[in-house]
Amino acid sequence: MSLLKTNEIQNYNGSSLTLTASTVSTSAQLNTGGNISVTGSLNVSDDSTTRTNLGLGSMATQNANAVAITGGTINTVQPATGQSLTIKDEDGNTAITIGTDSTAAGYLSLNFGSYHGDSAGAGSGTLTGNTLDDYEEGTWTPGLGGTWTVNPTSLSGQYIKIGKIVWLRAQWLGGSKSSAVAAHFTNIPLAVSDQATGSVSNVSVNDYGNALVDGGQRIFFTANSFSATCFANFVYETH
Amino acid sequence: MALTKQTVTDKIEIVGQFNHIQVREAIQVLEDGNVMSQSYHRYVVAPGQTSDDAKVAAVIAAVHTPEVISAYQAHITSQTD
Repeated sequence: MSLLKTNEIQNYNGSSLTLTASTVSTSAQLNTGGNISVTGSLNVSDDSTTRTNLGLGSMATQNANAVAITGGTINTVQPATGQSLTIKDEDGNTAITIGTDSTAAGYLSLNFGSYHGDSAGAGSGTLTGNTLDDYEEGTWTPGLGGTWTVNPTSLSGQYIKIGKIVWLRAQWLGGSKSSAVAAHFTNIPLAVSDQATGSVSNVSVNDYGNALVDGGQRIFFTANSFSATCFANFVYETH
Repeated sequence: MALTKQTVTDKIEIVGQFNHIQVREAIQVLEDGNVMSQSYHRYVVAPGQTSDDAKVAAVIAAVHTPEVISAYQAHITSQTD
């Protein structure tokens, strides 16, 4: 191996210079007035200074649990295996939580403080007046009140609550009574704030008139006799 | 890996003029003590009604006073006369 000492290396026409050695080393600073093109990997021993010099900002000092992204676009965010993903608002309050595969209950949790509509402003709302934080669905079992000539059987029901609005269904088999107010259903799952009416039919599409949920939280029917599986549906406001 | 099922009263609310008690039960399926699935079942306790649930019974005793029950009975009578 021989040693070449010189102050400047320039190719014959002054344009680019290509080094074909497998490794080019220098113990001092390497300067260039143009670009450095690397087709392989770039290895640096001082990561922190290099990141700062490359303009990565806080990314240079971030850790695995606190990545701050202040610009650019992303199309996929994926938590590590077994970890949930939380997105917070500017105040540090949790806005969206995506649970893990083993989190059967509450896999996706949304905490809406407000919502914003289109550019014309439609749908925009305030924090307190438009909070969408109350959705629930479940079942209920109608009870029998008053005097039934023939008791309905197979009583069941479903409900969906969105804010103060309740969709309610009662389902039963047969039954009869002597008058509209002689007998009723009880046990509605969510108290009606005033009164509400609904419609009643059975699986054969027979019309059994109307039903009323009164302030006593009872369901009355205009029809006096039912056959087959019947349904009553309501939409009303709860407290 | 043991699967169990339990029903817990997870919400009790007092609503309306006559202190109707809204009760929500959470029906839970657990695996080794961890909730794997959950659904809700609800009912409302009107003044004058009772409950076998100790927590609900305690609320009934507190808010369904004789005066409330009497006023409620008068109200429902007026609605169906």
